[in-house]
Amino acid sequence: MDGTRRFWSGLAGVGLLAVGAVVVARPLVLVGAGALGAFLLATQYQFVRTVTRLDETVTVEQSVTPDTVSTTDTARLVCEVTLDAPRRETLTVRLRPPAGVRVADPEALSVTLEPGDRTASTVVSVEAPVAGSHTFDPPAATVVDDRIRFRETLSVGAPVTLRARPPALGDLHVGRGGDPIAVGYGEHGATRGGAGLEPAELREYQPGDAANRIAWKATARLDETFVREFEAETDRTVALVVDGRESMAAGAPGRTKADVARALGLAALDSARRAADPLALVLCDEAGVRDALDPAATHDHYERARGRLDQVRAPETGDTSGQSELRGQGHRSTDLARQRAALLADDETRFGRTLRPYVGAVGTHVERVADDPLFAAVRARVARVGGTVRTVLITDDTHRAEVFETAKLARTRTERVTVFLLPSVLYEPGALADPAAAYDRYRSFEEFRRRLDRLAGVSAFEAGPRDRLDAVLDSRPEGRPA
Amino acid sequence: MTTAADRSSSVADRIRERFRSLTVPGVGLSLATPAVLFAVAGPRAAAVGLFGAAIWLLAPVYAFLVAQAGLLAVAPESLAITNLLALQGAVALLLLAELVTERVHAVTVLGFLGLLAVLGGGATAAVTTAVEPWVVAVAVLSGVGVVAYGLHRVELVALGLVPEGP
Repeated sequence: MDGTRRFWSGLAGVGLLAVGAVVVARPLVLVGAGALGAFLLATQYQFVRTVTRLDETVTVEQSVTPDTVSTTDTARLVCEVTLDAPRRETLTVRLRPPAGVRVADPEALSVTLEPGDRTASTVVSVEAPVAGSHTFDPPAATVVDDRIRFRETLSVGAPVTLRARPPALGDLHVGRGGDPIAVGYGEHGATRGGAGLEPAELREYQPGDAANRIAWKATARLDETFVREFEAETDRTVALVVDGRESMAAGAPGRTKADVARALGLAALDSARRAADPLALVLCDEAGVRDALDPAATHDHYERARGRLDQVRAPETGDTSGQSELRGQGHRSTDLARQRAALLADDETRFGRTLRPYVGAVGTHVERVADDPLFAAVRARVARVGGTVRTVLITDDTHRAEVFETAKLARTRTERVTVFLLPSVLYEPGALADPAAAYDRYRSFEEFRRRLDRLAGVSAFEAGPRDRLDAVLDSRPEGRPA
Repeated sequence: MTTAADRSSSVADRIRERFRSLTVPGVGLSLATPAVLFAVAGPRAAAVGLFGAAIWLLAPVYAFLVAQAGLLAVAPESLAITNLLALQGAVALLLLAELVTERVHAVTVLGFLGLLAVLGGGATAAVTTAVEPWVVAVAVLSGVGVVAYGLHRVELVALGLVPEGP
């Protein structure tokens, strides 16, 4: 409770009377000091009485519509204040948006009920440019008594949460050789039933939950409604690996490889969630595993994974354009390197003698890529997941040798591997300036994708902007095979 | 920037608001002040009461302070306890009239009367004995301060606004 200037003036009057009585030696006035003090205390008590009963008389409803938006869209934050009867105090309710939420009109965040008013409302447009959950604290209500002696601010109402999702990518193509895929990813005929479900963790009841999932004992014990999550006894785990290295930064703002990887990852998550498949998540960067979640199939786990995927961004990087093709061509398979080494082993010409030292130490590509982040991540996190596992690998074509060996490794440890390859030629700015060169790069990518796709148990798909892919395919020179 | 016209308009609004809030019982109680003062101490005291009641129409706390100053002028130096109580009781009607005007809860009025008895009555008893006036002044101020702080803490606890301990 804060006293206003008027209250402190009254208190000063008490002091004036008390001191004055002593100074002029007239005790009569001391009695007056006591009377004025009693009056101020009585008004203070009246205010305390009013404020402590505020909850019973004021209803503040705060809501945000819709509660899930894209980071580029706006939502409406609505606050409605209703009194059961007109009051003599002034009530000001102020909304409290969190940091990270932009408000179109900050002045509209406050709504005031003057003495005699019974209802008031305000609507504010808000934006959440950062993906994630944004919680609006309960509004702050400031009460000022009708004689403006006291002021108090307290929270009324309930918090609300606005979820911001990254913007959807409009014309994303996912397919093989320019042909979009026709079948749904990730669907399998798991029939649900009472058997085959293991009870897992408790969580608070949310509107829409089935009544037969209410955990009655916990509800009675904790005086709040809880439901029990069930984990499916399926061992068909989905291991989702998303590459977040520097090369994933290529692309136009909002349509970088990282943005597409995020969208694909979220689609894979939704698919696993629909089938109630346990999901493991691995996010990589240049240093290796940046973030990881062990497999689980609970609501909270899927939401945690969603939150991690929402944060996937184009990494801070230097200029990566032009590097991928060079690196792509420089990375060849182990077989090809061995073939070349074998050819040059017996070549005694000057050419052979010059080149032999460079292909002499072939080693294996597995040894070479063993320390590469993606390979190391799959070996460390995915290979040890038990049961039947399906690996989903989302990466680009920059590190082809590593991707190839990683897919092979994943296939040896998991049931199936699905690779979503993002062709750099469809993302790098300026890559389409030379249509012939762009087509050659796309052909090179397609050859690599087919090599991957030919691996037993591996399906490899391309993913990229439809318009750029069409531009590349349209620029196919006459007489060149597709 | 607030202009003189804005300020005078604001004052006029406040005066209008004040007059709109007056009630018959409140005005009646305020007019009882000069009547009681006349009965206790004659016409000069009644004039003080009338002046105080007039100011009460606009500013009740200032009216009480002005009435106290008036009492100092018209009341004799030494007073019998009953006269002292009667004079201060009459002036305290101005404060009671304000509580009635504000339509406070009955418990609040009872609380005022109780505190009046304790603080005012205690001060009366003290000054009519051998206690030094400054001691009584300190006791009155301390008593007001302690009760005010206590009400503040009660409010914080009731609203759950007490900060967490270390």
